[in-house]
Parts: sequence; structure tokens; C-alpha cells
Amino acid sequence: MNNEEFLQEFIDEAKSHLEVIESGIIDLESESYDMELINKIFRAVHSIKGTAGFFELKNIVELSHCIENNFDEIRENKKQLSEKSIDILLKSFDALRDLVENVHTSDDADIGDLLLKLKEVFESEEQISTPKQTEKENEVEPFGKESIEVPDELRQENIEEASLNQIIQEEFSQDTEQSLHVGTHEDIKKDKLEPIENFSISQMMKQQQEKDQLDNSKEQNLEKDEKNAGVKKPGNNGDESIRVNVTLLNNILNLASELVLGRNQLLRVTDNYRKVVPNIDGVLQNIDHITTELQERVMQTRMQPLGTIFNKFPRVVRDLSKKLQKDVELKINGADVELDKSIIESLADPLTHILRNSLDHGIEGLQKRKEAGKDIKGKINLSAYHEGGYVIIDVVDDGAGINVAKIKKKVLELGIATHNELENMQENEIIQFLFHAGLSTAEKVTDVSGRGVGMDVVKNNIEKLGGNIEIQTVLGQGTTVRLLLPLTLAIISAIIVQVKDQKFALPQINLQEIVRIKRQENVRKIEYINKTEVLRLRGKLLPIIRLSDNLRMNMKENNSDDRGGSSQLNFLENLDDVTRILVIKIGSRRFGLAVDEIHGSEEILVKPLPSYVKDLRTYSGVTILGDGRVAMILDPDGIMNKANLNNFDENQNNEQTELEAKEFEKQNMLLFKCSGNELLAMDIAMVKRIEEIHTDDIEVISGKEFMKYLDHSIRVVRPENVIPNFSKKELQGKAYVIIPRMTDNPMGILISKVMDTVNLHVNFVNTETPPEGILGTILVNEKLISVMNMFYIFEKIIPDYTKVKLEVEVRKQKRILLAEDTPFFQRIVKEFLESAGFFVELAENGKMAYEIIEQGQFDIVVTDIQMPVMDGLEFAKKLRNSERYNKIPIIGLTSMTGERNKKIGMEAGFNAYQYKLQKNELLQAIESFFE
Amino acid sequence: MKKKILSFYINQNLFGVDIRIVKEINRNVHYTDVPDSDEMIIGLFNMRGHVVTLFNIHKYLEGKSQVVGEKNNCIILKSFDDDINHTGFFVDRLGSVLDIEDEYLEPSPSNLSNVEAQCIEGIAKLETELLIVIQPEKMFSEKYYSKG
Repeated sequence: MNNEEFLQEFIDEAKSHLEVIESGIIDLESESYDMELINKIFRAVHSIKGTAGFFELKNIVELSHCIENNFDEIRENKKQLSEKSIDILLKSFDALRDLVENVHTSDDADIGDLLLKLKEVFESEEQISTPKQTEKENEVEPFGKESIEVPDELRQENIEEASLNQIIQEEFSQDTEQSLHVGTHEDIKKDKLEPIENFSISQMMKQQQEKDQLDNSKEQNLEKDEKNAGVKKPGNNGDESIRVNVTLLNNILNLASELVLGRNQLLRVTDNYRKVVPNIDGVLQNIDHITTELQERVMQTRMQPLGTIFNKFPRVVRDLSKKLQKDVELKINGADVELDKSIIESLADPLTHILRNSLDHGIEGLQKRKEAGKDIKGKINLSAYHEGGYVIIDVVDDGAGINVAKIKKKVLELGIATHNELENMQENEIIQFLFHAGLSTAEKVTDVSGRGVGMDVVKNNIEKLGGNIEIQTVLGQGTTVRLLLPLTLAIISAIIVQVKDQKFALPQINLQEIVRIKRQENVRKIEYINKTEVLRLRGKLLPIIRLSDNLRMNMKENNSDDRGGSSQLNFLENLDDVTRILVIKIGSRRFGLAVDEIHGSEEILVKPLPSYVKDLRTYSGVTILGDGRVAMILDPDGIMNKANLNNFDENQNNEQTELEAKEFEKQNMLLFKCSGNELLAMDIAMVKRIEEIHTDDIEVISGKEFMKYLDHSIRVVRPENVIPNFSKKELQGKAYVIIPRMTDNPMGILISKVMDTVNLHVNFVNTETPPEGILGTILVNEKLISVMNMFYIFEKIIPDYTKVKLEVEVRKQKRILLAEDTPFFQRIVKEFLESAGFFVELAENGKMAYEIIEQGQFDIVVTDIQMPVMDGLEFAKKLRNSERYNKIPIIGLTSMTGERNKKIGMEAGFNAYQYKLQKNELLQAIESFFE
Repeated sequence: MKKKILSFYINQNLFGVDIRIVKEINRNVHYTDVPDSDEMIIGLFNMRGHVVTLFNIHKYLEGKSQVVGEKNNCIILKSFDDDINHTGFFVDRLGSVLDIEDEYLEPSPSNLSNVEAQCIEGIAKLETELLIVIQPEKMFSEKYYSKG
């Protein structure tokens, strides 16, 4: 070891001491006088001073000496520090840290001002302490004696004009006890220098105190150094550690995972010989266990506690809250939670930013907090914990929360989204805009935060780590920022997918769901907008990216046709019946990634991309799979960018509304079978739940069948017993029950099998009056399917299901004009009304309806809203504008609910607004106009 | 000064590299294609936990792509700068290790282009044929970075 290396050791050591000191001072401020804590700080300062003296770092010695003096006084006076003195102390530590970090130039720095301040502050605060002091002197006498001899001996060495190098070499070759003395010796040298510079009596007194303190520290240091004998880095008692190069650790990690692969191969190969070779089983098992454990342990070496960065934050919060004139308390939990070193390192900045945000934007000023009836002291909780394979870090403040309206305003100002888009967004979607570059809700720009750079960078950084960030907020109550982080960067959960004959790993964190699409399926199929493939997924359009196209694997295949001529075969395989789509979400954007095969999930070891392929945005790294082969790790963000999906965001909304408009007129039908063979269908909107049951579970009570459902007994209905002309067979064994909506009396409709769900325009094939209980027959995939009339069943089972008040005779005289274009609803609504006795005239759109109403006498108009030619709103306006019909009651029918739609309808002239499938409500609404 | 040169054949032509930069020679290299990558890159291969980038040396030296089988010998070079960037290439056939005196290595002829010349350490005139001693590390990095 040369001098430079010793110096490096000193810097590292001093840094760890500085950490102790800083957190100690912060604690001192919040807690009452704590002797233990002060001693700890004192020891740390003293160690720095000692070693710095050894290197003859004048400034460091002087500064730390001064700080040490002050602490000694604190210790003597046993009093709590004032805020002012803590400020000065913290400043001095900052200066000390600067000096330590720039150790070579430390002696050029000017610290005179600071030294003066330090002295001033403590002099002014100093109380009469002489009596105590003398006591103390007596107390420590025995240690004092011990200490005097050694410095003398050393001083002699000094007198012999030993060069610094010699001292260094000698001291370090000697045992630790002696190296301690070097520090002490320097202290004493310092003591000699001091009186020349200072003349005041108080300084003289200090001198005396210093001696005492020195003696004390001697005792403490001795103790400590004994414990740390043989270990370079003093720190926690008994914690032995050595510094290891990270590259070496990574190499070991590599080898360990290779060993795992090797073991797997060994186990596979030897499988057949297990019986032949004696004792091989035990040996293999042993290797198996050891290898697994080795890998785990190696992984652990890279783990560090979050405390290493959390410890910085009390200071950050303290300084910042003073600057902002707020009173904030930071609570830290889970500082012992461990994360991969590389994650910890890149977490410091984002977390600091989030904390600053909480302080600046979250926590209100003192006045505001008072007005809001909150505790004046704001609280920020920083906590870390494990959950489901991830480490979660929450930053919770009890501040003002995020004002969504403000975000909206800003978003509109910046033109990031349109008014319409915002209107349709959920609150949490709007909060996502916080991550948009250039958006900051701070009303005025401060130097703390609010410069408009920030959360987007934070989000990027977190996502780069393979993590996620979420914000939850309650206006007036506070905000929670949650970071989800993988335990280690090195190992992530990934889905192994295959395209053609190549496997890829896709990080699971972005994966939302996997959709399988069968070629012949009607519900889900890939459709086209221009040339872009899209998939309808629960009412939203999902752009589809084919991985093979994205990676231009098809082209490559063509280029190297000479390779094996297998492209033809691959092409055929692609015509497979099933397309597998991974739904991937990045921020607020989603897309579907189409692949040929999915092999399941695996924990993979992430390796960096070789720099030769680094410019490929579609990969984030490489890994080695269980078979020992390299696999590329896909980067969903890169894939999305490459596919130019960014533009899709805007396009999507336009196309979507158009498509959705059509969608309204389609029905989602559930296809099922009862006991017989005929295919039946019902609108999914009528289905609350489908439960699997066994026919043995059905109990019979006084001739009626019942089953258990959510702690209740509900009536079981066999449609074939209710609806005439159904083929009747006895269902046995496993069956299903449909629990319908639209009725207050829960019941289960017993069916044998759910066949499928389809989304289609219902077009009834025969126009003649259908049999009882059936709305009509539709054609799906060339099969005839009867659409069941659930209300028929309700009425048969629940005698007073239809709640009507008027006499049948009254109803029979009322004439209703029904405007509805969808055949399915034409039938079902007409059937509602007619079964109640009303006379119903049907029109297919607003225009037709207007023509009909002009020719006849009607008491009420019931109209659908979305209709071709003339929609319900226009029809209603037209009626309202005519003298003849401006008083006629109009009821709007819709298949969707929503206050906004209702408002528009009411403005157009509707008297009431009803949901299409709610028979009783509709009837009641109609009757209310005749009462 | 004597140099030990590992010789190999690419399309019937004899090439060589200084044996000091060779880490090992592998057979049955199961590599993984990197779709959408530079045509100079054949793929990546796992050498006991280290990811090795395999280059299409045929393309460099002969200007055309070559059918490379996993059965072929693969020369893997020592990592030039760090741990990530191990490199390697397939050869048609291995030659032998030759002792070449430094003075027998002639500089590349002047009618070679600049880039080509830089990648050639020298040319040795053997009795029956010419041995072109190349510097693959330059080849891979020069070509690569000049492109990007």
C-alpha cells in the first residue's frame, strides 16, 4: 500500500463517519438531550481529526477540532442544541465533507469564517460550566495518566525527524493500538498550536476542556479500536466486512449462474445412470443444493440496505422545510430493506425529487394548515417494504393533495389533450399527466421544484430500473407516491416468447394480460384500420404489433433463403389457428404484441447488451436461458417507438369513437345450452354472474328447487320447465347457473353449458311472431339460435314481477310510439310494452317516427337515441319545436348510462331517460305520465 | 522477434491472427440470432456466462455472406476492453500455429483501401501461399463504428 491508498482509505472512512455525524445531528434536533448520541458524534469527529492529523491535513484537523470542542461543551452542559447552533454545525459538516472529498486541495480552502462562526455561536450559548468541568477533570484522571506516556514517546519519534512516510509505514505495520496513538499525538500537537492563535480567557478555558475531552475520547477510541482490530473500516460493532470490486462480484455472479446451468445439464445427463452408479444420487443432490445456495448467496452480496440513501433525507427535509418556512416531520420506515446495489444507487435522485415535491407542492404552509384544521407540523412518511417479489417505497404526505382541475387546465393550456379527451378520463388517468414532460402544477416556479422538469425524468429513471411509479391523491388530505422496484436489476421475471424458431424474453412488469385469438372466433378478431392491425379488447382498440415484423425477421428470412429453405414451412406454421397477443402497457399507452408461442415465465439473469448491438432500441439486454443459449431481452418501449405507435395515441381516439358508436348498436350475446340440444342466447347485459354447480347441490323444498349462492338460498329455474315447447331432459352432474340482473328476486337459471360469447348485430331471421318465452331466432355461424326472453321467465317465476299500477283497461287505451332501429331492442321493448297491455306502433328511426306521429294519435313517445337518418335527440327537438307535439311526453332509451348523456337528452326535450332493459322502470316511467 | 500466428481458411484463402489475442477455439457453438442487427453480426453465444458477439468475418474479408454452420470452428478472442464485449468469428477450416519472424511480415500492399489496410497487420509469404495476418479487433470496431 502506498500513501495514496492510505489516503483513499481515510476518505472512505471519513465519509462513513460523516454519515454518522449528520444523521446524529438531525436526531439531536428532534430528540431531547441524548448522551449516547453525542458521544457517538463526538467519537466520529474525533476519528476524522485523528487520521487527518496523521496525513497533516491542516484544515480538516482544524475544523474537526473546532467541532469537537463544541460537542465537548454540549456534553458538559448537558443541554439541547438550539436551532441556530445546529445550522452552524451542519454547515461545518458540509464544509468538512467538502474538505474530505477534495482532500488534496483541502489545505487551500478558506475555512476561517466558519471557524469563527462556530466559536461565536458556542461562546454565546455557553453557560457557566466551570464547576462541572472540574468535577469532570477529576473523574477522568485515571485515563489521563495512561495517555500521557504514549504521546511523549511519539513526540520523541517526531523529534528524531522521522519523515512522514516513515511514520506511516511504521504506524501501519504496528498494531492498531499504536496507530491510535498517532491520532492522539496529533491532537496534542494541535493543542499546542491553539493557544498561540487565541488569547481570550474563554478560549483558555476551552483549552482545559479540550484536554478532558481528549482523555475521554482516548478511552473510547481504545475500546473501539480493539474491537476493530484487523478490520480497516470502523463501523457497527462486530460487523466485519471487506471491500470487493463490483466487477469481481459480477464475475462471480456470472459463474454462479453458469454453474446452475452446468448442474442442470449434469442432472439431465446422469439421470439414466442413477441406478447404475452407486451413491451418485447423494452426490448429485448435494451438488444441487450447494449450487442453489451459492447462487443465492452471491446474489445477496450485491444487496444493500435502503438506509444508505434514506439517511440523507432527514437533512434534505430539514433544510428544505426551513427554506420554505414549513414545519415538516419525516418518518422513515424500512431502512433495512435491501435492494440491489445498482438500484440503490440510481434511486437517490428520483427519491430526493419526490420528497422535494411532497415538501414543496404537497405540504401546505403553516397558515394554510391551520385554516384546514390540520396539525401545523406536516408529516411525510417514507417507508419501504417487500410485497409480492417487489420492493415498494411509499412517500406519503398529509398535504394538500393534487388538484386534478389544475392538471386539466395545464394540460389544455399545453395542448397535450383536448377537452373531449379529458372529459372521458378517469381521475387517475389525468394524474398520469404529471409524468408528462413540461407539466408542473406549481403555480410559481421556485428554485425547489416546479421548473417543469421532474416527474417525467423520475418516471423514466424508475422505469429504466425495471420499476414502476404510481400516484394516489386525495384533495386536501395528501398524496402517496409509490415506487415498485424489482429486488434486483440482475434478475427479473420475464415471459419467454417465441417467434419463428427464436426465443425472446419479455420483462413481465409491463405485461398486463395475454389474449389468445382463434381464427374462427367472432368475438375477438384482428381488424384493420388502414394497414394497422387492431384488436377490440373490452370496448377499446388495441394496436397490434407483430414481433416478427417489428424485428424484420421476415425480411431476414427471405434474404438468407439459402440457409435451409425452411421459410416456406415457417410461413405455413404461421397460419396456425391461434394468435397469441401479449397486452403491454407502458405508461398510459397500451399495445398488443403478437408472437407465435409463449413458453411461460422464468426468472432471468439480465446481462448488458454487447456494445456492437447497443444501437438496437428493441432490446434492453441479453440473458442466458435454461438450455444455455443466449436470448435477447425485448424492450417494449423500444418496440413501441420503432413501430411508430406514438401517433396512434391521437388517431386511436377518433377511430375509437366512431367504432364505438357502431358498437352500441351491437349486442354481446351469451350463447348457451339448456338440457336440450338447441342453442340459446341472451344479452350479456342481463347476466350478473355465471356459477358452476353440481346438480346434487340442488335442494328441493316443497316442490321448488333451491341452491346456495353467496350465503343465500336462491330459486333454481330450469328454463325447459318454464318455456313451453323446450326439449326436456334431466340435467345431471356438473352444470351452470346464470344469475340474472334486472330482478330483485335473485334466481339461478340452470343451463348445461356455456358455448361462447358473440358480439353481433342482432337480426332476427323470421319475422312471424315467435313462440312464448323466445324473442326470436338469430343466425350465428350458420347456426340457428333462439334468443331467450328473460322477462318471460321472471314473470312466470315471480308472479308480481311486473309492477304496474294502472288498470289493464286503462293501459289498453294508451298508444305508444316506439322509435328504435335495433331489431333486438325493437322486439324486447315492444314485448315489454305489449305484455303490459299498451298499443305499440314501431318506427325504425326518428324521421319515420315523425311521419307516423303526424298520421296518428299517440299518448307517449319512447325513443332510442342512436338511430340512423334521424337520431333520438333530433327527433325530440323536432317534436318540441312543433306546436302540435311540444307537450307530448318523450322517454329516451339508452343502452348506456351516464349523467352526461342524460343531461344532453334532457336538453333536447326528453321528459325521462330510461335504460333499455329495465322493464319495470320503463313501465313505471310511462305510467307516471298517465296518472 | 518471433510471433505465433494461428492460421485459418476463409473461402480457400489463408488468414491468421496473433495467437496472443485468441482466448479459445470452440466447436458446436450454439449461437442466437439478433434480429434486426447489423449484417456483420451473426449472433450472440454463451461462453460460460460471458456473452460473445459473433461476427461475419466472411463478409468482411470476402464481401459476401457465407453459410455458417454451428459445426464450424469458432475462434473466440480475448476481451479487448471490458467484460461485455467478447468477440468471435467462424472460420471454414483451421490451419496450424506458425512461427513467423517479425521481419517476414510485410506491410499490406498500397492498392488496398485504407480501412482494409488498417485491419491487416502484415502479410507473410509462405512457400505456397500468402498468409494475411489480420487484426480482427480493429476490424470489428473500425467497421462497426465507422458505420454508426
